[in-house]
Amino acid sequence: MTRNSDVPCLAVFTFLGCLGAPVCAATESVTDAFGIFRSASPTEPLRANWAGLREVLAPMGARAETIAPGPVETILLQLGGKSLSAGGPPAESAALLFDAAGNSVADDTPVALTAGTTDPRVVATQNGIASRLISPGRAAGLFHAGAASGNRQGPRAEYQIVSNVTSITPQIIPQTEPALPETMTTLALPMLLDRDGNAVEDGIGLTLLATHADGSYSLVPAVTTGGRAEARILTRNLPQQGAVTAALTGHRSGAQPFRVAMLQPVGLPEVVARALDDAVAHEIRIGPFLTQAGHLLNDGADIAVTLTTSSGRQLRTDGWLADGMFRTVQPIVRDDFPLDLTVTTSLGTVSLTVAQPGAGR
Amino acid sequence: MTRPVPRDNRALARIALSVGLALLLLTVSAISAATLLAKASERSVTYRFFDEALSDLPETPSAVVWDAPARRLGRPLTDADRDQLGRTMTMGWQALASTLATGVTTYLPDHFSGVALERSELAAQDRDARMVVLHSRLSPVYHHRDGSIVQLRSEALTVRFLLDDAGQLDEFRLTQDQTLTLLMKETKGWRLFGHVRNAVKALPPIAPAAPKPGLLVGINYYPSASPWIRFWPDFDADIVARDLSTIKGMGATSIRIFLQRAPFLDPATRGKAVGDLITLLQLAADRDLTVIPTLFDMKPSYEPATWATDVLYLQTVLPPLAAAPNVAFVDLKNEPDIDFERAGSGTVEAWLRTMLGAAQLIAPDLPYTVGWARAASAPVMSDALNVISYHDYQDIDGSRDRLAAVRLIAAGKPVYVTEIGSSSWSGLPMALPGSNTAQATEVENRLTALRGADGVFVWTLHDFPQVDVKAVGRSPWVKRLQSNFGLIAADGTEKPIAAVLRRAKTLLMETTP
Repeated sequence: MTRNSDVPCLAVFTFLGCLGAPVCAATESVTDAFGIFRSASPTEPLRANWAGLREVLAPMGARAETIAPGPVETILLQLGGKSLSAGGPPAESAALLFDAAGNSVADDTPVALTAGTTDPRVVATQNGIASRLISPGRAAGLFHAGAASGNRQGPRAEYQIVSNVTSITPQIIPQTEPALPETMTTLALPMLLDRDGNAVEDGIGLTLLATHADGSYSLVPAVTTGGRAEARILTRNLPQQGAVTAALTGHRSGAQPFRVAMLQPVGLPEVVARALDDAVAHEIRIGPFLTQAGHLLNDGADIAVTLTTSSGRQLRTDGWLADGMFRTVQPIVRDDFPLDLTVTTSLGTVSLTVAQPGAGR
Repeated sequence: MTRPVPRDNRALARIALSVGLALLLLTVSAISAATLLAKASERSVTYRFFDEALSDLPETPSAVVWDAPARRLGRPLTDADRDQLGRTMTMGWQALASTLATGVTTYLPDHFSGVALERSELAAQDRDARMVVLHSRLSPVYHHRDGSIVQLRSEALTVRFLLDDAGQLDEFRLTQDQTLTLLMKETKGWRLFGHVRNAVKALPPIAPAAPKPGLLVGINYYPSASPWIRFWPDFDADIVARDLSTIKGMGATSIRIFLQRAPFLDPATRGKAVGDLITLLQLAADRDLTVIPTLFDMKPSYEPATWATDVLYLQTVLPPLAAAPNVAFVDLKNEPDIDFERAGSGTVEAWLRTMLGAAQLIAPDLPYTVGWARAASAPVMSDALNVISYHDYQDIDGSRDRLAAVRLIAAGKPVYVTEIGSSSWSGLPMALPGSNTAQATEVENRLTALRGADGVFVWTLHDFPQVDVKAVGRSPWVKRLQSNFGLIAADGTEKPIAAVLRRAKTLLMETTP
């Protein structure tokens, strides 16, 4: 810590004599960047170390003193922007240098700034800061930056360069065979590599959009893991034809065909007609609808039924399955039997006959 | 040895005692009635929560202006950056000013961190010291590319002062500091991290400004229906024009007006208030009347944290005053010596010197005064003022001597008595024996006693149907007294005092030695 009272720029300072000044203490006082205090103040020894200009106001006159900062004691390092991508815009590594009293060090103090695989560079401080730009390079990964001046070194800073996601256009691995119905089917993307071959980091979100032949679509989120991304879609009630695309940071893949295999029935459903006691009608129960996947056709699956009576009268109804069964009440009488039924579900269309109430196939 | 009292003397003593007791009883009854009336007229409101009882604090106006960066920044400052940084600087220095005044450092970490926090906390240990950064001209010199570090070069008008054990001003320093401030964007926003003063730029020399020459015979002016704080919100140019013509017709050459702080600071009313002020100055000029604007009227506080806002007020009101050819001089504050006991004479004087310095920077060609309530206060900062002024409501017998004493202190500077007056209200015939005639006589006698003054201003043009309780208090006696100081009665007729004013110039001049 030095006290320098003959700095060359003193000419610009104001020397206002206290003699004759309107308000002037009988004892010496000092002004600095944070206020004013009497020379006898207990805070004076600490404040005497604060670099910069201070004025000593004495009964006989005022004088300016410039306190110069001491040598480097502490180095703080700030490196950013926060998200550096391979081959992207440069980052800035800035070292803030302070002396033992917390003053910013003098201008032109040399500071060696290191960063990643780049060559160290010596930069001179200006207003206590030494700064350089760092090109992120083309390789993603975890790097370290540091700053050193004199025999002092700042704590090293870690920084990560991530893959240049914006350079990646996602692709979807084509299906080798249609997806099985009623299952969770995986839509996979190949390894996501940026233009320099860096794999994307974990946790990057993608969106897959499956458009179906009936005009409906499915939006499926995916997250990268290990440089790859997968999305799982439930092939229930989906048309057999469609297409799927993937989007990543504004880049969209080309459309890839997306096929779903037809669900196959196992056997024919049974049909039973039962006369109702309190109405001129019959309850007709059709099912169970068994699938090749080993389970009942799902609840809510569409079903359409056409009944043709012995006299040729036709009745149509539709609805949804519940517990693999369909139940309907129709205004038919015993003389309407035998009934011919045409039943359409996602398993296809089947023809059934009920010979008489109480039984049938 | 006792001397026997004659019988008729005893009777006289009994009568005197009875009269005395009756008078005492009457006085006590009158005072009790007045106290009860004052109590009854106070509005009592019950609030459920503290915040209901407190008025909203206006948003702290930014006390900074921005210059372009000296060189290209790695990351340009946006308007939003400048807004945030300007507020951080303004509020940070206000917090430090408040901390130095109170010693309470609790709120410093809201604005400071790192080295600057340590230093501001240390500075707060000097309990007799004050510093206020009044206004800053900022220029960015560094901005980290990630937006987390900024360095600002500042030219900051800064006042520092010390108070002695008795609260008197012991040291005063007003400077233009050249500083460099390091700010860090932390979790809760920007914080001042480092601050260094690199130079002190000399304040420009202030030429000794003198008021417009000639004897001023003036009237303190508020419109009849909108006195005190209603003047600017209810400004009516037609009424003012009519009143100024009346004033001119009474032989006055000048008016003294009052510019409250709030209407000239509130962004919602500032434009209109400044426009109305320009209108008033022009209306006065059209009638060959000079104007003495009195600033900071009814300023509630001398807390250092408010001083930067006071400078913003000066920046608003002084340019139109400087542009007007008929402003005789500017009265910085009406009767600040009344606040000496409440706010501390040292703090009040420091505030006055600070406002004077700031005003001289903004409008160096205007002469400045302070309208002291008592002649005895005139020595305070008489060295710095261009004009010495005071109010003379004390006993007339002492008027001549008081003026002579102030003349001595003024050392050749003009001396104005900017308020004299007398109420015509007669409250109690014995205690407050006012009348229109007595009012005229008293003012005439005082004018005569004040011969040799460079100007005298009578309080006030109008009697007021409603006086502002914030200005005069709630005492019914005082309210009635204050309502009846006018030259024009509430019914619009001239009182005899108006005729005295017409002769004022002659009274003051023909007896001038």
